[in-house]
Amino acid sequence: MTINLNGIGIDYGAILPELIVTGTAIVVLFLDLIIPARRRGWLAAVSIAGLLAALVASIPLWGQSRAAFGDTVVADSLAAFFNVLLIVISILTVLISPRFLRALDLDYGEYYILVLGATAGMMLLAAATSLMTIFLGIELLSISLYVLSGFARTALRSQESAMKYLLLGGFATGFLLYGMALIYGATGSTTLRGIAAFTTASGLGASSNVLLLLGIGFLSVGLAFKASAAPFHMWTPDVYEGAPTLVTTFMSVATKSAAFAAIGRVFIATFPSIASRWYFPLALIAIFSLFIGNLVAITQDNLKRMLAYSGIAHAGYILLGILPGTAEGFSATLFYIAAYAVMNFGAFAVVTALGAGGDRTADLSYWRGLFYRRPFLATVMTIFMLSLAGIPPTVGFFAKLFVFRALVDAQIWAPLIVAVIMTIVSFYYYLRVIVVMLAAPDEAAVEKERVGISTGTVIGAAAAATIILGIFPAVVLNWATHAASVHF
Amino acid sequence: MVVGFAIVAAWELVTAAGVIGFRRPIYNALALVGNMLGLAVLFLMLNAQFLFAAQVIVYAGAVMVLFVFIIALMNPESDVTLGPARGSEWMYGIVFGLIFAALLGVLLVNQGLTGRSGPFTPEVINAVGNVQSVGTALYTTFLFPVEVTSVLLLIAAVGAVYLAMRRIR
Repeated sequence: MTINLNGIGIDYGAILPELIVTGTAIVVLFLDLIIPARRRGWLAAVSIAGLLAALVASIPLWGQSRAAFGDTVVADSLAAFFNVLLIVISILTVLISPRFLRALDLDYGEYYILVLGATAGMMLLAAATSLMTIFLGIELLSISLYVLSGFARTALRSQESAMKYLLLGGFATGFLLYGMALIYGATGSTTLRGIAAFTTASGLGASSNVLLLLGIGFLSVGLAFKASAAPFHMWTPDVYEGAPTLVTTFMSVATKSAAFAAIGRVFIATFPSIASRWYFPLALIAIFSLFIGNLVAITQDNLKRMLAYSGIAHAGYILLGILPGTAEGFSATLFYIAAYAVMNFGAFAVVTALGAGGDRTADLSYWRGLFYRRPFLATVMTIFMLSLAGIPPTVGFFAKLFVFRALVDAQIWAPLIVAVIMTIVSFYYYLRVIVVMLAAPDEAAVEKERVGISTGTVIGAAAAATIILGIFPAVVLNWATHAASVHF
Repeated sequence: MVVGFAIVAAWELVTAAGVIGFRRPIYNALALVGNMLGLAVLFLMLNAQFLFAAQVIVYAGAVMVLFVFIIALMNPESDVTLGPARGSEWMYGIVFGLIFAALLGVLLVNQGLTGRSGPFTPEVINAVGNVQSVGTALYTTFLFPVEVTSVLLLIAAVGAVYLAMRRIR
């Protein structure tokens, strides 16, 4: 028996961005051994150079449809969309990192390796078209993030957060894997294309195939956990609060984006023929997320916890776009993910800039009178809060508008009504931050600290993007529409 | 065959309960060894002799021996016992577990399971051999996942070394 590799479609061009990011991680690993401890800033520079190269390599994938390696990965517009988004998030994270790593006494090369590893995993997840690669992408990003959340080795909170994330993440992975095994057992295929072919071919039989439905259910649990959608959200506030704020900034936006890429590939692309079966559970998850996220966020006095619950709520909004199963809904989802990435990254970056450790400075009382102490940070934070609340002229407004419009066009009313009511509820806790920052300052808490050029630039750019995309949303919406059209 | 499966499946359930039920880490680890051996027997019953051998040598053998060694090394004198579980957690767990089991049971009784038989029947496997079948699948169809796994292990190793080896200043 000879082994024939010609049939599986070896195509390094299709996975070039992932290869570059992984390669950069290995280069950083070796450089870390050579470079003296004082010059670790170079590791950040090398990481950024590698990420920029991967960004350039992602652009040719736009508009293509290249299935590679036995249909386990694909290079298409959707993958390119997420590649660009995830790489930009990663670059911004690395840009603001060195200064705060030094401040926390955590300036180790492993940080960059793990961020690059997580990015590679997320990019793989967005390009995955097989249960195997979906699983490996999730594991690659998860293991990197487990270690990153415990990166502050001397801080007990950080260790606790890593431990919780690891245990609950492992549990969720069990569900995910079990679901995949059941789906394989029901359909006899590990590739999404094969599964879709089986599901479509068996017609009505598929929607009463218990093995398949159970598999999809377990798979949804695993994916919803990564997207931190309720009721699989329990880990989110504790992990976000305990992890170094720098890491929270990265994982809050990047993990959610990658998880929704996989959710899109699974539900929109693989199981459209049994949409009536997954519609109700997903709608329930979305409604739960909207309720729990928005209502619990009101009671939070710690900004990291508040943003964690707000993240859960936003997972609900993003999931709403999946529900109609239409091109319009999916492009609204993609637009929302991009918008959320910009505004939430900015909000967490401001929390980081105020104090990277985030024990005391994340407390809302510390933010009292911030407008008078740190006018720049307070101003950009106001922009991010308005955008997260969905108030024009910010990108958050259009993100919600597009999702709601898709729901109206698909005549999906109950989730829409919940979403609108919960949006109004969310005004309270987002605007409260602004009110607190405007309040008269305490005389005691006067600290003069400079933001730093790179951090200031990153935060300023995020704020500018939040407003510019809020005035001209069409550019990104066109990209999102094109990326979403891959599966219609 | 069915009787054999039922016995092994029952053994699996009991040992799995032991993994989470025992209060001493060393018993948890030993229950896990038992569970993995049972899994190996299941592989054997499915005509997957190579997976059986790999499961016994790699998991039940190497990995679990390390587990047991580490637990023994960490607690040379007395085993660490975990504190008692809180009552409410047990209650929630049992209630939701029962609901879940009832749902599954209703589904199974009403609909039955319809798995799909794949191309790898015992005859096909025996014609080329167990090891070769697994090897061919790993290095053709699943070549890319195998390569990604190597990256996964590298990143995991970097993370583990960071958490374990970096001296706290």
